Amino acid sequence: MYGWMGTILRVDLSSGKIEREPLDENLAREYVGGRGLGMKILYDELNPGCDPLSPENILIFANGPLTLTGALSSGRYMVITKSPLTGTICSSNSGGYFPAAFKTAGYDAIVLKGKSEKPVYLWIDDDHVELRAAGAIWGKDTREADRAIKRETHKDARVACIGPAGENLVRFAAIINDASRAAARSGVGAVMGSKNLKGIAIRGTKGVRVHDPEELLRATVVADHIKKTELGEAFGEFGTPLFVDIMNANNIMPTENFREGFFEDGDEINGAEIIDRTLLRAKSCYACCINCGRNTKIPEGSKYSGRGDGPEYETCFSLGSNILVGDLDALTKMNYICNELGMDTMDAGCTVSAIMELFEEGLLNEEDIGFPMKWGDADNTIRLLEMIGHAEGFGKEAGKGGYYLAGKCGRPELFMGSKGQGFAGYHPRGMIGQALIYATSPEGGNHTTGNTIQPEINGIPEPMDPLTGKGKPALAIMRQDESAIVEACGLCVFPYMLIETGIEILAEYYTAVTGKYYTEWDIRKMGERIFNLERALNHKIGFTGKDDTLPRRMTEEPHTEGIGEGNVVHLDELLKEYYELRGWTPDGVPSEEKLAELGIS
Amino acid sequence: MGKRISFEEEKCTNCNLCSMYCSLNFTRNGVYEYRPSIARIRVSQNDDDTRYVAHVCLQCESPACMEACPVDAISKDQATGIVSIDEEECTGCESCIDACEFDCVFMVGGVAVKCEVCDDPLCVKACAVKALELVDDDDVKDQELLYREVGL
Repeated sequence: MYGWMGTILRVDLSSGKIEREPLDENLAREYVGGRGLGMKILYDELNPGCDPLSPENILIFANGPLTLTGALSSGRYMVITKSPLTGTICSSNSGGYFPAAFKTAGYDAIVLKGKSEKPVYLWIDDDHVELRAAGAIWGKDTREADRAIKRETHKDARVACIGPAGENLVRFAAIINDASRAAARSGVGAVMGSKNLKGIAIRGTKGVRVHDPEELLRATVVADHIKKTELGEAFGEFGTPLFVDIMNANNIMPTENFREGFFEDGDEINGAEIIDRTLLRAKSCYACCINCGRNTKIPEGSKYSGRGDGPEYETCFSLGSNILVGDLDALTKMNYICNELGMDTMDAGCTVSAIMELFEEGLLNEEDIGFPMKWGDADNTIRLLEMIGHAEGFGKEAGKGGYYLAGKCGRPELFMGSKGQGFAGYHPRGMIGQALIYATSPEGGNHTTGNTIQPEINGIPEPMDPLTGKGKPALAIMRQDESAIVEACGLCVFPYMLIETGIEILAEYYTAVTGKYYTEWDIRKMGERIFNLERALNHKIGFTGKDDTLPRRMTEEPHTEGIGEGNVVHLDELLKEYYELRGWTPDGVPSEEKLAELGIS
Repeated sequence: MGKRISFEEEKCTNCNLCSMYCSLNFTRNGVYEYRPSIARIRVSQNDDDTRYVAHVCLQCESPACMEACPVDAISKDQATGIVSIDEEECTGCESCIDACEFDCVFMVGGVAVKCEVCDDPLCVKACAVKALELVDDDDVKDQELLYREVGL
């Protein structure tokens, strides 16, 4: 097989048994790899009713057939499991260098079941696989753990591990690889922690076979093209924080727990400010030419200190505008803390913003928390983040997520998310297509299961009014299916969502790598299959259209000023059209006919 | 006039596409593989993750690797200036690797390998940030300095 490595590694953490299984070619043809293959394994093997933090849950690491090929931005991997944050299935993805090591060690996926009696880490050196005691590493933050595991294994090993947040089962704990990149969302780090698995270290020296490398070389031509587009060029220069300016200009930068869409201190936390103040150098993931990564350091003389990566745009919103912190040094510090403790900055931020609003409403007070949590209070936010990661005091409650906390205070609608997962930094009231994606995503409010920035905000390929629902169900479906296939291939969504011919190019790469002819239509169909499989699995767990909701703030409280003033999301109408176009039942469940058409059984 | 691959540190983003594409040249039996572990150009990074350096042979005027080789498996072509290793002759003793102060010789499958400058180098083609260039240039001082200074 070209593209795939042909082997799935299965590790039973309860018994310590390690097995290799040949990859089923039919499975690979239908569900590709990464998010698709992982989800299919989950669909076939997961007890849908299991507690996500019990040994019964299955944790899957997967790369895709296009990972580490010449295809653009091919250095990604995915973590697939049942989320302890939402109770739904989830796929969290990350870049860096770990995915390259993972694939060249010779595996398409690692399937982890059970629970180790004592803390362990998994060491994979090509064909050599062993579980090693991690007692001395347990408790270390992700940076220290990365170093310690490398010291014990190999200097060329690449490590994905959890920090204290994962060990303490924080519901939005992340898995951090290469000490800076995060498979952040949905609490995948807590699932790893629940299995007593501190990390996975991999060294790989094998090769990825491809059918037609000459065709793949064309990727560099496309890369040139991307870099020459206005957005592509800006991405390389400013990284994702470039979005601060774009979102602010369009009145969709979530501010003060999504009350508003404009943050007046945006210029203090944008891409240009990062270049001026904290940037050491821009960097890439393996096999990517975009270099949106930011290697940063808080400057001497600041109240805060530290060095690491980021923040990315999503953090600029979640721990910046959304909690009214306009101080780049403080924001950067919060970002480092989340990376080191191993937790998702986005859900950390959406939890903090809910706490601040609950505090303002008098539903949480100083006695509950231990200190006041007022809008814009960076120092107490830093205190709280540390308490969450270490499960101390009120941090233990907050670590169960903002939706849980707001519900406990009797106001679940004050958590800005869907299915218990916080939104990304694109205000639903000002981007109706994105609002629909948040509501229907199988894993709750997130931007990697589909985003509409290009059509709704940047007008690519054609301008669409972001404020109306016209054409949005079809748009949402298209973008969701696209992101499903991109992540199944083991790629990064950026270039494929950035250029208008992204999926056409993906079909060409897919053909060049696998040696089998695929059209753009075939590729889109595979994306649709994966997305439907996810919804079908969610249905087995117990989710239906009743869970496709948005908080009242999106559907009833209008944008107060600026672009989109007076706008709300008319979700019910959108959902009706969306379910029809999807071929689902009126209560949002993939119909028997649809599943049969897609060959899902 | 020496042909070689030049490297500009400022532009490099550590994406490793150069190693990936280089490895395609050393594919056997018509099977093409992206296999960075056999590449003749390797990017290393410092602990701080602030410096990225692609190690690729400078085709030295008086190659230390050639001097060090106990079986004369390494030679320099006087016309092109390119230093090459005869893999059949190489015994894998690693003397050349110890001798190269620029860390541009690598062990692959028990023999020493290094960049011998392809006609139309894929590493240069694949480098989207244009940090690599095929040059006719004997002035290697800057790159020597970089390799010495970084010591990665």
